[in-house]
Parts: sequence; C-alpha cells; structure tokens
Amino acid sequence: MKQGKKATFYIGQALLWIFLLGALFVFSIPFLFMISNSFEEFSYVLPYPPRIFPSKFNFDAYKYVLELDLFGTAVRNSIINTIVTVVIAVFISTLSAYGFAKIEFPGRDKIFAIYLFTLMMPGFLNIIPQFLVLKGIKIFGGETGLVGTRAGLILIYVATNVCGHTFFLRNFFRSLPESLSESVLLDGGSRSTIFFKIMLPLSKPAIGTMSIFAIQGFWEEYFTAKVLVGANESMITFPLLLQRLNGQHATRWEWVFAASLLALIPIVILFIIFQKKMVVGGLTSGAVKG
Amino acid sequence: MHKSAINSKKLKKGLRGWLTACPFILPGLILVGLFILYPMVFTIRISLSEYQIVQGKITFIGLQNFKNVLAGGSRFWYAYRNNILYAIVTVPFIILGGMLFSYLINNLKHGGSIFRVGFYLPVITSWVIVSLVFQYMFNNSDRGLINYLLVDVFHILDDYVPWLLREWSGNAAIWLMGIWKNMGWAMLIYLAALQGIPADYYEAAKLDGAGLWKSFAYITIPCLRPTTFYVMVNMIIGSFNVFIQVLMLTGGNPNGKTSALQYLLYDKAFNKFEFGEASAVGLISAVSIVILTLVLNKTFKLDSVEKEG
Amino acid sequence: MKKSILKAISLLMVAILIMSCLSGCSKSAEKVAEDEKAPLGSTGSESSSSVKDEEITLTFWHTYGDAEEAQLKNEVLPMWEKSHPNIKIDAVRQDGGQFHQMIVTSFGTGMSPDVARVDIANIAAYAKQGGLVALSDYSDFSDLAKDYMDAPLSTNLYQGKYYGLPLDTNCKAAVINTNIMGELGINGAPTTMEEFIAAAKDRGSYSLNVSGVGDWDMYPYFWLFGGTLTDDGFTKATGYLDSEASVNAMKKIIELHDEKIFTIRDIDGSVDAWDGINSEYAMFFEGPWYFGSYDDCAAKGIIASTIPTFNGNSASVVGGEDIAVFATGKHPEVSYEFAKFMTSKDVQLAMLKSGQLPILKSLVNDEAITSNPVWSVYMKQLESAKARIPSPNNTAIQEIWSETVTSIFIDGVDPQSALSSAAARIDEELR
Repeated sequence: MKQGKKATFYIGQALLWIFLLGALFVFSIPFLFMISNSFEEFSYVLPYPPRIFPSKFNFDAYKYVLELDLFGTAVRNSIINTIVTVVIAVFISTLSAYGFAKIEFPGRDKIFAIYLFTLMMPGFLNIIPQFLVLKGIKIFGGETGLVGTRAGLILIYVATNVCGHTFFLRNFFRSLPESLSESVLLDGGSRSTIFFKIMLPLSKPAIGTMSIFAIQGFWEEYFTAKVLVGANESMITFPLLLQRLNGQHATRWEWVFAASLLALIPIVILFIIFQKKMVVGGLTSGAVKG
Repeated sequence: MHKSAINSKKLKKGLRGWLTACPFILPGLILVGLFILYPMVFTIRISLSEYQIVQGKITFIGLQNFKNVLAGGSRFWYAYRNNILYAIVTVPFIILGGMLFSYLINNLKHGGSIFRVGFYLPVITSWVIVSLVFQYMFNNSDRGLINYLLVDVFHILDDYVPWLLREWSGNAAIWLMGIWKNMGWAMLIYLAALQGIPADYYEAAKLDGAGLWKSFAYITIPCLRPTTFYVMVNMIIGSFNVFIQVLMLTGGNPNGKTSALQYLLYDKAFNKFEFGEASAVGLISAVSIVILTLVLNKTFKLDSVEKEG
Repeated sequence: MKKSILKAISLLMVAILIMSCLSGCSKSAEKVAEDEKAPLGSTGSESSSSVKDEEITLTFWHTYGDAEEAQLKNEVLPMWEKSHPNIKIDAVRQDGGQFHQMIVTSFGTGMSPDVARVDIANIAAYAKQGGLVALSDYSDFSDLAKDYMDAPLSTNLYQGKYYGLPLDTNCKAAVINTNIMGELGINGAPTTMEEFIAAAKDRGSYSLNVSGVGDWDMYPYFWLFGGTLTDDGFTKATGYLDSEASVNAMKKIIELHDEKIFTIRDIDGSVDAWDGINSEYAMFFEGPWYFGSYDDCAAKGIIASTIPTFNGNSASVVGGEDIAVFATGKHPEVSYEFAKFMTSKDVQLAMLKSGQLPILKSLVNDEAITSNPVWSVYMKQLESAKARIPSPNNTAIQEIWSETVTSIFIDGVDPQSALSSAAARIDEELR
C-alpha cells in the first residue's frame, strides 16, 4: 500500500519533470537561437537554414565585442550607475514606503494616489522637462547644470523609480504587525529606531527582491542614458554600446547577439543566487502574519 | 469656539503627523515633485497648447490637440484598438501560464530552481535584445525560423508567411512576444504567493481525495485572487506601455495597423514635432488605464491598496 | 479608500488643469527664446579673427561608422587643428537609429550641438522649427555655393534660404549579379530596362528586388517608369502625382510585380536583397555602402552599374548628408567656418577614402573617383538622380507615399484613385 503510493508519487514527479522540460525547451528557443547564431559568421545576411542549435563553436564575435575600445568603459559605467542608483533608489523608497505605510499624516492617501497615478502616465514625454530641471540644478556650477553628468543620470533614474518602489514596499510594510513598533514607541524609542532596528531587518527579503527588479531595469536602460549622456563617450553604458553595433545600413548580427548574451550574464548570475529568497511585498502577508 | 478648538487640535495633530513623516517621505517627495509631477504638469499643459520646441514657446489652444488626435484619421484608433487587444489576448495567457507553472514547480520535489531560472530568463533579458531575436525568428521567407519550421520542416503551411508585414500576423508576433516575456514574471509573483497558502488546506484536500488538478482549481486559484489582481493590474498597465516591440518588429506597418499608443506618441513627438498631439495621446492613454483599473477593482471587489487588509 | 482614490485623482486632475491653464497664460519661464540672433558676421575672415585669442570647443555630432570615424579622427581633425589651434572640435559619434530623435530632444532642451551632420531629408524640418542658422545669410555663401553640385546643394533649401552645406552625397545605383544576368542571357549589366524585362519575363522567379515601399526605395522605380511627384517648385502634387504618366508608371510597377519579375520584400515577404543577390536576384538598387560592406564582390561576380534606362532615361534618388549649424550654438561664425572646412577639397578627398562621395563639382572627374569601379558608377548615376520633396513635412509626405503604395499592393486599390487621393493629401502638406 505504502509502496504503491510512493510509486505514484515518483511517476507523478517524472511526468511533471517531462512536462516542465518540454515547456522550458519551447520557452528557450529564442535563447538557443541567439546563442547558436552568436557563433556564426554572417557578413550581414542570415544563415540558411535558420538554426536553433549551434553548428560550430566560433568565438570570434565575442572576441570582437570584448576587444572593442569602449567595452571596458561601458561595462564600468553600467556597473557604477546601476549600483549607485539601486542603493539610493531603494533607500529613499524604503523611507517613503515606511512613511506612507505606518505614519498617519493628513493627505497621506491622496499623495499616495498621486504616486499611483504617475505610474500610469507614459514616461516618454517627461524627458524634456526632466532635462530642463537638471539643467537648472547648478550645485556643481557650469551652465548646463547636471546635464551630461553621472549625477544627473542617477538622479533621474532614482526619481523615476521612487513611485513604483514605494508602492511595492508600502504593501509589504503594511503587512507587518503594528504591535512590533508600538512596543518600541512605548519604551520611548523614536521612529528612526523602529525603522532601522525593526522594519529594515524584517523587510530585507522584500527590499532584496525589489533591488533585483530594479537592477535589471537600470542595467538595460537606453533612452534616458542616450539623451542625457549620449554626447559623452566616456559615459557610454552597455546598452548604448550595443546599439552602436547596429549599423546604419546593415547589422552584423553575431556581434549584436554576442554582446547581448554578455550583457545578460551578470543579471542571470544575480538571479540564480537570489531567486529562492525573492518575495513580493504584501502578497505574502499570510506567511508573515502566520 | 468649541469648533475652532477641535480644528486647532486637528491641525496640531496633522502638523505633528507631517513632522514625523517628513524625514521619511520628503526625499522621495522632492524627487517625485521635480522629476515626475512637474514634467507631468508640463505634458498636460503641452497637450492644451501649441509647442514650438526650439523657442520654448507655448501657446494655449484649448482642446484642439485632442480633436486632432481623435478626428485625425485611423491611426489613433488602430493604436487604441491594438492596446486593448494586446491586453485581452496576452493577460489571460500570462496569468494562467504563470499560475500553472508556479503551481507545478511548487509541487516539484527536486530541481525547482532550474525551471524557476529558465522561465524567468525572458524577463531579465532586455526588450531590445528580445525584439531583435523575435524580428529574426519571424523573418520573411525561409530565412526566418518560424517560416522554415512551418513550411520546410513540418510542412504545416504551403507557403511562407510575411509575418511582420501583415496586420494580424504582425499583431500576433507582438502578442506572442508579450506573453513569452512576461509569463516568467507572473510565475515568480505566484511562486512567492503560493508560500502564503497554508499547507493544511492542501492536506485537507488530500484527505478528501483531491488530486493535483482539483487542489489547483479549488484551493490554489481562489487563494491567489489578490495576487491575480496585482498581476492583472500590472499587466494591463504594461499593455498600454507596449512600445519597443512595435518599434522593432513592425514599425506599426502596414499603415499603422499594428501600431500602439506609445508608438504613436513617440512617432508624433520625436519624428513629426507634434508634441501637443503626442501629449494628448499620452493623457488619453493614462486616463484609460485609470478607468480600467477602477473598473477591475470593482469587479474584483478588491482594492489594490487595501488588499492585504 | 476606493472613494478617496477617485476623489484624489479627480482633485489632482482639476488642480493640474488649473495649473496648466494658468501657466499657459503667463509667459513661459522655461526657456528664454533665442529668436533674435546677433547680426551675422559679414565675412568669414572677420569672424575668425575675432575669436583668434580665446579657446573654443565646438561640438560636432555625426553618425559616421567605424571606417569614416577613423578617417575623421586621424586625418581630417588634425588638419583642422593645424589651421585653427584655438578651436577644438569635440566630435561625438551618435548611433544612426536614434539620431533624429536626439536632435529633436536637443531642440527642446537647448542642448543642441554646434554643428551636426544631418540627413538631407531632415534639413527643412529642422529649419522650419527654427533650429538652424541660415547659412546663405553669410556674404561669402553665394561664391561658395558655386562649387557644390546642384542636387546635394538643393537639399539645404528651405523658403528661399540655405540652412546647411552639402557634406557627402550618394544615390542608388544597380547592384548586379553577372552570373544570374548571364543565365538570363544578358552579358554584364543590362543597358535598358526593356532588355532586362524581356530577358527576365519567362524565368518564373523574381529577378529584381526592392526592400520596402518607402520613398527611398520606390521613387527610383516610379521615376524610371515616367512618374512625377510634384511640379518643379515642389508646391503641388495634384496634376503630377495623379497624372496619366504617373499612373502608368505605377501600373508598370504593378505589371512587373504580377509577372513575377519584380518583388517588394516588405509586401511579398521575399528574401532580403543583400542575401538574395548571391543566389536568386539578378539585380537590385542600393547605395554605395553595399560595396563598402564586402571585399569579395568582384569574386562573386557582383558589380555596380548605372540603373538601366527606360524609354532612354535612367533615374535614381539622391541620398547623403548635409552639415548644419545650430541656432542655439554660441559660436555660429566659427561653426560655419568648420562646416566650410568639412566641404573643402582636402577634407572631401580624405573622407572619400572611407567611401563618402564628394559634393564638389571639381572632384567629379578626379582620378580617385574615375579609377574606382564603384564610385565612378555612383558619380555617373548622380547625374540622373533626383532629390526627394524638400519639405519640412517630409515625414508626413513619406507616410502618405508608403500608405499609398501599401494600399495598392496589399489591398489592391486602383492606382488612379490611390494616387489621386495621395496627391490631394500631399498638397495639404506642401501648403
């Protein structure tokens, strides 16, 4: 009887595996395609027949990309921009989210509703006024303010993500029981004690999850970087470099694919490391409360 | 006298609330004000004006831009239609697929990580790269993978289809890419949410003799309702932000029949200098999303903000 | 809560509306209009003498590829720095795909470059926005203009003034696979279209390919078969685009398409020309960069040739770039000086080495060109190449044209009625 149950269990598991593997294969076709084509030599035209599996392992395209003059600069800039932005954005958003979740002040819900509304507004057209604001911030002197500077780029990245991050984290904070902070307040502790000693440690998984979403977003951002620092080669980021491989009249696909795959590596590694720890704010309330 | 006392008390309390909240919300508020709200006001102003971009001259012209957009030919309506179709087609697939895969992976004893990473890969790949690959897969003639497979390998079709060059096959490619790219995200969210369903629900179902499918239908789906709402709202907002796929796959061709609102906006502003009309398109899109969200809210009898109650 | 969100949003909308109206009425504070430029210097020499002492950096945006950029950095800019030690050029390479959008954005932010290499099709639009300096206001312009070839120069014209100098030029010429031509019974390149059509008629598969339905792709065929777009002054399309000759030209294209001689990739989903020319197509029309991309054309039997004549006339479309000075720049005179420098003989010859065809009349018969089997063909073809409609609304005109051709080939609309309605719509844009 027990034996039979075990057997059913294993057959079930095997079927599950087969089904999921099949689905995963279909899902991975675009990647297989990208990988196998990065080993080809195209000379501007597509290979025939189209390939899903590599026919050879030729790393010329990777070599070409890695040896590009600006490769090092682009990778360094992308890493610096991403890390600094994520740290600042997540810190500011965590503060905001806590404020909106746990402190009562007049107009709170209205301001928060405005935050939500901005998420629904297309961001494209903001670029010109954002640029004008940056131009007006002249703490470091210069007639162009923060335009064309790393600080300017990071400021815009942070600002455009505050609303979304705040929304995400606020839900998480609300799911934390009120009793935790009340005891601190009764003991004469301040809001900042609650925030740093209780809220931050408890929300580590949520903050981590959001950071990974955020890192991915900043890592691939093209449009703002292009407009803001595109005129300065020393500020080039990886997505900008990738776009350059797209020729004006024709494209060497193997270069583009090789560069794309290289760009993917750090993000995939990050995800593999943290995937099991990822949670979603507010949606796991049952687990936290139970 | 009495009333004013209450008022001043209220005011004091309010002030105190603000003072406590300020250190927390102020940095974010300032940034949002400068870089999001001010630009938004600017956009709204432009939508009611004629904007001469080089001179920075803004002339108020009332609702003329909205009239031009709504009455200015079929391109706007095609774009609007396509956004709605995109939502109708992709969101159910994303939700069902995400739910199903997360549930199956959750029931795996070993190797869940492989699938978690595998299905999530499309999400972390940039839209631009993904578009390139899709452009390539849906290529014309026998050079495109899809055509090659359907015609030369499996003989399902007799003739090559110019996928990205026709209204419906072009839209289908855009939908397929949306589903492929977003399903992993939904899966991840559901995986997290599944941890929150008490194990004893399933135990009880098991005792009653329910199998994997029955548990899925009667426990998992109902328990995931708030999550589903969250995913749905996110994906619907996403549906109105479809852009790179259109830019890179079809360019809105033929004749704007595969276009989308964001693409129309971009084309108007940055190709044709029609910033006023572009801003009007942006506002119409934003208001549509708000209305849709509120309607969904009502049908789901949930509140996105209050859902965890 | 739900109600309060609704209320908040409606409140916000009202507030924003009021703010928008208020700010709409008050004078815009974002940017000081730069309507009135300082009176332009009378001569180039005078202006350059005034800036002799101070150190100046000019920003120059371009979309050159690797080979052209190397040529610019290694040969051209050193030449400039030698003669202008005080004026540094900050040459910024932009990627071609988003260049127009970058310029549009820079108009809004006031952060335009001083000088830029601009697609000839966009000059009029930028000029209309007030973004460019009218170079023909400089007194030495008329002398200078005599040295430039007419077609490239004409692309700088907007409302009677020139807003740029021609920088490089190109056009479409025929790319021919001589092996396939041989199979059709034609030795080398066909001289007339009639000959080619007769030879390709019975082949049963496409011999001639074009990528898309846009102006750059389709105008050469339309012109070749006798079509016209507008009057010579580009003021009117009705009576030209919908004339009998134009309708017949379009019908000829349809006929070739029906006879499986001619294929439009973006309509038929046929193999791309760069790929198919190696195996199936006998001919397609393309810019000189096709030959710049491959070293082995001759070995594959692929040659450049002028576009075969139809009714005795060849036709092509002018491409290329102009160099323009931006109105927001601080040093228009120096920028103009640099633009002139870029069109000088030495620079033109230096850039030719990377395949940028020159715009100077004096270089048409230069040894460097006549000895090159590809460049000589393109320079010859330029004689029968026409510019597209130089209109600030060129994007809209392009869209009308593409829509029209698409409707003819996909929806089967009658060419006469399609062209008539297109003509009426283009008239609106030209007004």
